[in-house]
Amino acid sequence: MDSHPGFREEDTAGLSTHTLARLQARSRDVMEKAGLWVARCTQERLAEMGVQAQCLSLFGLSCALRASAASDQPSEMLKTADRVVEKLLDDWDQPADGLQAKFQSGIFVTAMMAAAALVSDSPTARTYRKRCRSEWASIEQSAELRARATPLWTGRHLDLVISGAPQPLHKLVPWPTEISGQPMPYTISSDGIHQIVKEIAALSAFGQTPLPLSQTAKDYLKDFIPFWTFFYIKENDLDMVAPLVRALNYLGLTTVPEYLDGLNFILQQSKDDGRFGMQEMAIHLQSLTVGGSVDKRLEIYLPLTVASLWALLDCLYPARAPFKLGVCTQVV
Amino acid sequence: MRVKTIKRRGNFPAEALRSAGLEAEEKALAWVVRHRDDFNPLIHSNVQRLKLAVKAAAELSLVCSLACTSRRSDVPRQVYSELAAYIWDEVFKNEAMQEFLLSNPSGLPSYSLYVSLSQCGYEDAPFRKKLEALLEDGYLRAVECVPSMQMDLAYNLTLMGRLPDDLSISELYKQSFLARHPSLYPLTIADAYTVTHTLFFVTEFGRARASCFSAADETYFRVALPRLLAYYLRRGNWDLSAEFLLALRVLGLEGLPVYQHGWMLLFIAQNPDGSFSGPVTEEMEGFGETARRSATEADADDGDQAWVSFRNDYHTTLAVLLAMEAAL
Repeated sequence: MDSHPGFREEDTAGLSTHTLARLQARSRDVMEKAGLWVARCTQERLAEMGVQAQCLSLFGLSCALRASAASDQPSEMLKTADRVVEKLLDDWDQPADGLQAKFQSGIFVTAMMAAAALVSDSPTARTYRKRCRSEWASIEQSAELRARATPLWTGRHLDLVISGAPQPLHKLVPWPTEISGQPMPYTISSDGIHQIVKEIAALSAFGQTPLPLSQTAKDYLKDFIPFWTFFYIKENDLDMVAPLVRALNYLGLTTVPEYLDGLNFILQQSKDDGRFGMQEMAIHLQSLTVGGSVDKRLEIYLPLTVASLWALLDCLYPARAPFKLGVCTQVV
Repeated sequence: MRVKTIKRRGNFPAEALRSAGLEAEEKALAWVVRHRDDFNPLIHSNVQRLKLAVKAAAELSLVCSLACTSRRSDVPRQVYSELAAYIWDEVFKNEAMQEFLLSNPSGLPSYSLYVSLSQCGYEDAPFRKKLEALLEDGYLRAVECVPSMQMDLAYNLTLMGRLPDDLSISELYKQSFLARHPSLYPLTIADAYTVTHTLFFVTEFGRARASCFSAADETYFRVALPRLLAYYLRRGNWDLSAEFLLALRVLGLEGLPVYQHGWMLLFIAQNPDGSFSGPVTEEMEGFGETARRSATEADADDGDQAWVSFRNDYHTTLAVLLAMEAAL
């Protein structure tokens, strides 16, 4: 870590141009290697990957591709992405395991994230987007989904992104959130923090609109998102740091020291083979105590790598961030 | 270092919190009284327990000394005086104990135990002379130890009126880990204690204003210390939480919201028997939450639950009492 909390020169416009350029330069190689790792892992394990893992992989590949210049996108990543889309479409109607079944059971966010982030304009990519929108339309009005406001509004936003709409079509109605309860910041669980990050993303349309929250709720987030970022950097917990750095970005808290600390931390977790990892000794201990039943590549490294790619893309390449309205290449 | 003794009044954030603090203090002190014998090294036949009890007795003596000399009108002085009397009569006056203390001089209890009890009004001129002779012998000053440990010695020598001319807490501070304003991310638990102990000795546990802190130091403290308190609160490490609460207090930073939050959490965390649980999983520092939950270490004392509870909880209970004495 190259600086102390509280001693970085303030820049009211967020990261200074110089700092951003420096981080982008560091991230280019890291993100390409990560994307290639995701591609390799996916090619080797596609047959045994569930649809959630396939969608996650697709989303991760799209994040890595978005960070590259269009003329420079590695073909291995593009081909793997196409292959995953084909498999998702082939298995679409599988009972229980296909994407249609997942949508019907309320598990759709990752699939729609993947659709929204796709860079390809191939016929299969268009079909995938179209099917996601169609499935979304079939569940959007369901009572079950209406009782789950955060995924509902997340889905609505992602649907808009996929459609290429330039601006929101419906006014967001705030709902009772974990945030509004302002849980004790020192005892809230890590799941509770994850939920708060999801709420921030949904309420702010992934950083594109101001949060429709009370001032006390905003002050709560302003105080404790940086604290939690600090806490989990100190705990070397990439699984928590990556979404928290995105949350800082969505909240516009890009001048707090923890924002830069978080980005540096994420970049430092890149391994030689391209994946992102954390607490390797703890993972080793865990694999011994649970009898080696953890599939490290799919259950640990793939989610960490995709989470890191997403955070780096959102924060360092904001113009290419995956969930901006009006920039989807294809109107479906 | 010239220090100006300052008169501090208790500054507990709100009346309800103060009430809770008084109640918690009473319960914690009652736990110490009930476990008085565990602080006595002479009742333990196991060498490891004996050594731990020497350290514990010295720490209890320190807490007693600060309470007995406190300006608080409602400190339970009688209870602390009786505890000090117990340590003096049943521990210190024992010849074997005195020999043990004098033959392990680089272990700080040698000085701190006696000096703390002398602050409670006790005096043993022959023992004092032996401590002075130890100092003159030169060994103590030659032993390699970090500035924060040298500050411990300097603090006790100051109270004895025997601080050598070439030993200065101010100068030691400048060489210390804390004076380098370290990044908080790599800070280990041991480092955290170094930070708190440095602040305690430089400010004489909040009884003096430190003239050696620069504006840069104070800027660093205002950011780093609340962060560290918050960090250890979230870790559920009540031992370091108490020390950082005291650290914020001695620096005049008790107006920060995290100070109130910290006390609220500590009061909730207090055990029914009045003790505060020590951090038993911190040896898994760096291994992450999953490893802390799944890995186990064998404890040779596992069969004696009463001792294990004392061993695990006495220091945290004393640390909270120390912090409460300054807060109330």
